[in-house]
Amino acid sequence: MAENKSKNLLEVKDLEVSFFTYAGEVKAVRSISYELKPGEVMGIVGESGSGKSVSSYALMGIIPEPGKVIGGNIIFDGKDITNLSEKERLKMRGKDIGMIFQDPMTSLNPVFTVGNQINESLKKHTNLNKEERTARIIELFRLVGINQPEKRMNQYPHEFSGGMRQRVMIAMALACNPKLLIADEPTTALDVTIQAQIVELLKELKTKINMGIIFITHDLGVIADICDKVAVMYAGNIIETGSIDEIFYEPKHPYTWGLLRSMPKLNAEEHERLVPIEGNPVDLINPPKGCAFAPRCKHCMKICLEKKPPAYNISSGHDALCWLPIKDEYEKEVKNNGKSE
Amino acid sequence: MKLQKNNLLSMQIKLSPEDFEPATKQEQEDLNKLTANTSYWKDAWRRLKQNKIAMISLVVIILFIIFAFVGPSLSPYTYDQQVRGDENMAPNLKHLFGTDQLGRDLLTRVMVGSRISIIIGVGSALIVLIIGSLYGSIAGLLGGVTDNIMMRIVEIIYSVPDILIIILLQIVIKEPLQKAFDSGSALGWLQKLGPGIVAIFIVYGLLYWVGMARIVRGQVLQLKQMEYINAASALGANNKRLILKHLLPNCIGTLIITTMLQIPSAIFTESFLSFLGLGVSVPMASLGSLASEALNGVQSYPYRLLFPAIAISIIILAFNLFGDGLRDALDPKMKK
Amino acid sequence: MGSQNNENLIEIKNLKKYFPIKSGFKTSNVKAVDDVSLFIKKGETLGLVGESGCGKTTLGRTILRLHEPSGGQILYNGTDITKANMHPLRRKMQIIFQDPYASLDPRMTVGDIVGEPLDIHKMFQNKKDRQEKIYSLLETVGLNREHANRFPHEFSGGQRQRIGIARALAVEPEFIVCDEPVSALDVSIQAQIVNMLEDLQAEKGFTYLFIAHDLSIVKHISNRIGVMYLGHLVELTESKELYRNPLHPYTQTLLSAIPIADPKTSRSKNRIVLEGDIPSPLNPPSGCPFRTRCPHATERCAQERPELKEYGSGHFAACHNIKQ
Repeated sequence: MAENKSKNLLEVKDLEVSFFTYAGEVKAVRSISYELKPGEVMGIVGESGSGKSVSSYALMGIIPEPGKVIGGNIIFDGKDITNLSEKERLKMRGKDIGMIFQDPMTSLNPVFTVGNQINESLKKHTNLNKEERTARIIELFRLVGINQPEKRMNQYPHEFSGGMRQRVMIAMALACNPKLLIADEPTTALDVTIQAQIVELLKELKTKINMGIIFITHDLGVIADICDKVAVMYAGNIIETGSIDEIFYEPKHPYTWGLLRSMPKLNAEEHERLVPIEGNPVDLINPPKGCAFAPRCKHCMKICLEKKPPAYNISSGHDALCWLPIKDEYEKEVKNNGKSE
Repeated sequence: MKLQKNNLLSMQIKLSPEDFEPATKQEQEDLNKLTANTSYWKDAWRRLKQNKIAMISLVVIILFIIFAFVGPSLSPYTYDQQVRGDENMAPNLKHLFGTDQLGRDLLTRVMVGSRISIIIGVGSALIVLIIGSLYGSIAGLLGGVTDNIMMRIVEIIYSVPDILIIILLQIVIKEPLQKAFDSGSALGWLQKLGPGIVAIFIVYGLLYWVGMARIVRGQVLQLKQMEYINAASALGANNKRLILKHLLPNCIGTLIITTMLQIPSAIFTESFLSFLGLGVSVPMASLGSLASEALNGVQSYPYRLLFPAIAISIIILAFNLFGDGLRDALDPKMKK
Repeated sequence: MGSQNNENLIEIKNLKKYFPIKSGFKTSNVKAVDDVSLFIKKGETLGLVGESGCGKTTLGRTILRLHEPSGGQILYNGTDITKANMHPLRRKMQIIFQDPYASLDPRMTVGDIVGEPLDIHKMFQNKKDRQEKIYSLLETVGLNREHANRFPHEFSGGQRQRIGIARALAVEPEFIVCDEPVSALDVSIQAQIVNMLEDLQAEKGFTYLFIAHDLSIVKHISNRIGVMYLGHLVELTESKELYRNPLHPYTQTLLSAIPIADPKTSRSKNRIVLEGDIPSPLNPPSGCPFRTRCPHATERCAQERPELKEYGSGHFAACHNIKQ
């Protein structure tokens, strides 16, 4: 997108991540590319095993064993961070990039007070003195909607409920004013009413703080609520990416159609039968030769069985990894050629 | 690869109209290949094979079993055969391990002794396995008051000084057992082993299952929270079925490991008891009794002590190391 | 609601399930299900929604007597089964579990898992007939007979859930508790399972108690819906009516909290966001359980617990502040 001059906060180019298990190489992420501008919220939506979480772990450099980045570049704030040393990463983690996880209990240390844990991060990444740090923690707790911050910061993680713990995690991630926040299924483990609280909080923060957010979830409802643009992942590929309206109202990939259609509509007046995507998720160790979605696709063509589709640009910022729109374009071209001859 | 809309498609990729014909259902289904899946056992075996020490121990154990069970029949001597004129010989070509003061071939006696030790080790471990796993799973599954009472009994047995009990039992049991053997009502081979060994089995059956019971109970307490146990009860499965079909098969890793580590400890106990003179009865040999006999002339004939001692060490070490390897292989979470 | 109706397959009256919690020397009770009464008609699907800890799962399992009730009555087909021997009833009442990974014994083949109910109830003397039954069950739920020799871990979540359903169908039950059967599955697979449950109901006339926290799925599959909060049933009505005219403030917030997969609607929507957390069931609020988070709570709500009252035909709600 040469016409777009504003600087990207994050550029991911052809990123590939594989897990080398004894059963063979599992290609969890296969060449994905996307960009994120400051203040933008990008949703990554996909089912289990689609590689949505692994792709963001690559940004943080925390891919679990035996996984490895095997190709591509990650450019954050103009700097290539694909192959940083562990030391440089430690400096970056928590300072420039904050992350919140699905299960806040596993990412908080149970033997330290929550205030203590945020304090550690502030001590490492800033040169605030003790009073300033305490003031900052209180400010952060107010920001994420924790009442009585002076009292709560001296409590231990188990004294917080699930929703409150997630707020603490958000406060911790925001402590050093990161430029990028990665939220990995932050609401999946929460109840609907608590999920609504957290989503509202993140929406509020998005306007207050000008940071980029990558929001990973499997819930299209949450995506619709909070994101500016969406990347839909399937079997390690971003199969469609576009603005939120493009994805929800003009989807071009059959998988995106399927996802949108398979959800029951709350406002349906009559009982409508659901339209599932038939078949089972793809086996990542032994994926099909052509398009990964081909075995489940209702519009599967001969070429889909043989060749992986290229990313096809539908309109600026809207790409689909599918042969269908290419087919339309090809037929148009053939027709035009016929006329001109 | 990324295609741009403003460029003509045909300039970027080669396409033909046939490419866009719909694929048949069959072609789509053919894409769903079934991958070969690894089972729990294959997976464990793969991990075990990677563990060099465990594999070496396994080979040692197998060689030792061959040595103990096949060896005596290849030997020109029997364990109680007294070769006249060959008394008190040092290791030589005729008697590789030498002979004792009665002219018995020490190699044959070590082989037979090893056999006894292995039989005792495996037999006791099996007794412990059966009693311990049933007791532990019953306590764990029933829970509540039953569990409380059953585990208090375990604690009482734990707190009893076991050596004292063994010595007392040996003395008490020996008489009636000898009588039973003499009257010929007991099994032939048991008779050959002598009342000492049978007493050891009984002692194991009475005392040593408690560790196993505790471990199994802990596992069962965890497993019974699993949904598949609920599912089985919702289907109407009774407790017997839950224990035998669901709980114990799912403890199998722990059961194997604990049993495996029980073997060397039983062998050790037997050797120790035989050394004290409470084990097998003469002329039968066990590794412990051989060591004990050798003690009399240890200054003149140190090799008599050396060979059985080496045998005990190798067998205990091999079983222990193999058991450790098995634990890592069957329970990979324990390691990391 | 106590009307004796022989069309009701399940009727529960003032059902209670308390779990004792020991802390030091004191024993207190967690009132997981407290005084719930409802009925399920033959052939219908009753949905049960609520957030974690509201007691919906406990209620489902207490009806099946997987938990022994602490009080109240359970009637099956008009007979009191609160103290009955459950073994014969296990063939009538079955359950499908939430977690397709934990609910199948990893050491058993799929054939043995599906065949277990046949063995428990000694339904087949002949080995070949038993095998044929297992094959036909697998085919009913969209699996192949070749799958019978495989182990659960070789299957995806959706396929495992199918195995769990086949196991429940093996005894040819009348009533099935579906305990969050699709919550652990991917969106595209959820629809497969929901459709299958609907088809099976149409074909075999099952009665379902469908428990879930996802109101949109519950609304899709259920004829009537009960909403639970902290062990109490706070609203019960037909599913369309619940969506159109929610009476209880908790139902209203629940409906408003559901994220809608439609950016335009969610941009325009004004959501009711509740303050605070769900109170601990160990220490529930006095009076109305919802009053600590309710925007309309009054003095009276703290004093007395609202009873479930009927507003309009078949629409029950438990709140002091409903004007009608």
